[in-house]
Amino acid sequence: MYLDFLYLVNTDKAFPEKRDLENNLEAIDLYKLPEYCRKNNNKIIWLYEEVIIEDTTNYENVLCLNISDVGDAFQVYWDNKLIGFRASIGSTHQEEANTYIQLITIPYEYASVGKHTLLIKAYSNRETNYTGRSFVLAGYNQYLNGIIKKNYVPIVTYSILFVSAIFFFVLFFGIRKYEYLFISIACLAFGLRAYARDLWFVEDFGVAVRSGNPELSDIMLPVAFFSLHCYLLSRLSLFQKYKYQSAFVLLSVVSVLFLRQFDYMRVSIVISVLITCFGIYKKDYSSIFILIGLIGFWILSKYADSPMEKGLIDYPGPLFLIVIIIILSSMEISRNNKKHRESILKASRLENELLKRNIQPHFILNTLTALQEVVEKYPEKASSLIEALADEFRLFSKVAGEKLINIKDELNICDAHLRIMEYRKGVNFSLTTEGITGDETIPPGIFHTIVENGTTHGFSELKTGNFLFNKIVEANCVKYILFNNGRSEVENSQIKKGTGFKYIEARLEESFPGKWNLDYKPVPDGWEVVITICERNGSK
Amino acid sequence: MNIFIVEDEPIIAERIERLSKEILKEKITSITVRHRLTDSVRYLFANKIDLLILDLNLNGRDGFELLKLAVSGSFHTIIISAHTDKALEAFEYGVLDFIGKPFSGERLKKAFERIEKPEKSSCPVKYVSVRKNEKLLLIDIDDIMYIKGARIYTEIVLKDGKTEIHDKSLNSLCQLLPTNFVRIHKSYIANLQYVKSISSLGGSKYSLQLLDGETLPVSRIKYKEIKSLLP
Repeated sequence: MYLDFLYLVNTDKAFPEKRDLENNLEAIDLYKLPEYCRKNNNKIIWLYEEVIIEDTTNYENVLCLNISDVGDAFQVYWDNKLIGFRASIGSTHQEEANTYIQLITIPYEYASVGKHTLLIKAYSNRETNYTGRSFVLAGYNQYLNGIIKKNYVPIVTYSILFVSAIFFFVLFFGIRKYEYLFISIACLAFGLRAYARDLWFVEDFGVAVRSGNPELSDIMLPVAFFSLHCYLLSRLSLFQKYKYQSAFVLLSVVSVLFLRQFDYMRVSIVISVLITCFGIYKKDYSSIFILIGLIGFWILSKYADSPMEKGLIDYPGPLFLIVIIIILSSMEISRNNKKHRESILKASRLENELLKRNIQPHFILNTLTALQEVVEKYPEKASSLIEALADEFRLFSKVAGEKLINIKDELNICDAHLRIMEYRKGVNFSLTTEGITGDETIPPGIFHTIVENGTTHGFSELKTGNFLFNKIVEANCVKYILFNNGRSEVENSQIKKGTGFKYIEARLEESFPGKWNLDYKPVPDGWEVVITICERNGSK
Repeated sequence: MNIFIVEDEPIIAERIERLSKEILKEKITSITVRHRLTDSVRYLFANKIDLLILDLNLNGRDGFELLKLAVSGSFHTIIISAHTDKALEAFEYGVLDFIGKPFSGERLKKAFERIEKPEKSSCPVKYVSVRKNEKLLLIDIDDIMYIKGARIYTEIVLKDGKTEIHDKSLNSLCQLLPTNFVRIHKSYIANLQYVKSISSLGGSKYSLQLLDGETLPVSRIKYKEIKSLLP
């Protein structure tokens, strides 16, 4: 028989009579056993097993017996010969210090081929319920390998979970999204659960004993799922809504109080799946990833009730889900990064657009043609036209890179533009303002675009052009009413589709996302553009 | 010569008018200036002009609408515009010249010279615009078999046998058309794409056979030139 791990569990039926056993035993000094144990004979437990060693070549190293949870003190007999004992029961840790023995080596000459008997006599003075009484007979190397095998899954698991917790926590600080805080707590809780269950070392007998901390482990399960649910809700922006929030908190409390651990886990996964499906229904397609993670969690936790796998239940499930969430988060971050780059690109495109507006052919080339005629025909006026053109260029290049500028600067640009258009159109232009202090800020080129549209479209038949800019402050909104007395030949809808209005819309959206409104309509005696900028979301 | 200037900016219109007067002097019979598109269209329908000088961008409106109408007329059209990127398109519709803004008197003079020279345009036309029942019809020049002069106007014969009347004279059209359109006779321009053969009828009489069987007269002085152009 190849002896690998031999589990021997205490069953009273298999025991020979105690008396017979004691009679066969080698004479032993019971003085080594505490007085207390001898007095309380009824707390003695006997474990007996017949062991057949068929081949010893596998055991190049020492054969050893790992005894766990049999009692506080014990004696081990191999073929009725005492080979080791633990004989210390004290009332304090100090009394029992350094006497804790778990591994007993079987002398080489005893471990011969053939049938052997193994007898353990154990004493206990505590009320501890030793359910897992067992001993393992194995080569010493195999015994060590067994320990490593049993430990590495939880070690890998909680390492990944703890690192993930730190990763998401850092993300939370960087991005300020609460979903990352929630998932960070969930990782920490799943990690602590893994750690508490199998790797919680307690100094119970003066040396480290791996005993686990079931209380901590049990608390961590609802903490982990609660955080996971918070994460799922907040990434779908549902957490901010009270009806979802309260329904979810109620559900969580009820399930924690009334459900057994494994049922609680199942219910929690079902809740997660429901939230995620709601997300998919709401067209958040990244929820599909999370759904895959949850299905994986469910499948990997299917064996949770099986006692043999008890040590493994929670490990691969959460790990699978968390890895998927990490992948998803990375994708989201890279997507946001791209968006951010695009917004920078958009800003530079707008700046470009503004400069282009100033040097577009129909403006600059027509102005130069007009200048040609002024130089040749009215040379005395040429200088002031050139000055006006220079003013407009100078002011433009000053504000082109800005997102918002003072209205004062914008009005100066409009003024320079009107001076140029006076020459070109032969119209006397004037610009008056009402209610504008000059300190208000607006995106550059907006008023200019309106003035430019007005002058190119509306004054072919008129001798005077009046522009009146009016500011009205309402409850939460500022309204700029820009009037001119031009009579456009162009259809209203055509102007709205023009690049000028597209530019104004893009600028307003950049600076006041969702909080602006732009209207352009004919009024008696002219045209009116109304720009409304509100503190709250405006009707776009 | 009656010149019609359509330009929305008074000072530029003034410049065109002044320079035209300086260049053409007593050749000018009248110069009329309009700033708005609608006025211009009305004027074009009501008056006989010899030359249209047109800005493509009028108060923000697209001058191509007016251009398509203008090229169907008997007169030549010269474009003066800041949008030089539109030059090729304008030529396709059959304008005589395209002047980019800003411009000098010299440049305008060159454009005027082209009116009198019979040489072909370097940027050939792609469409011929015909006014028919108050509507504009754009004819792809590849569909034209030949053009026959009929006093002040011309008859354009298409490959499907239809005939359209154009207000431009044979001389004016010849200036605009690409090199595969050849003046074969004082009253005929043929599209070489549709020519089958050329033959001598004896007694200094020649004729051109088209792919559809029609024959066109060829003048004696053009015979050699045309023969060398055919494969």
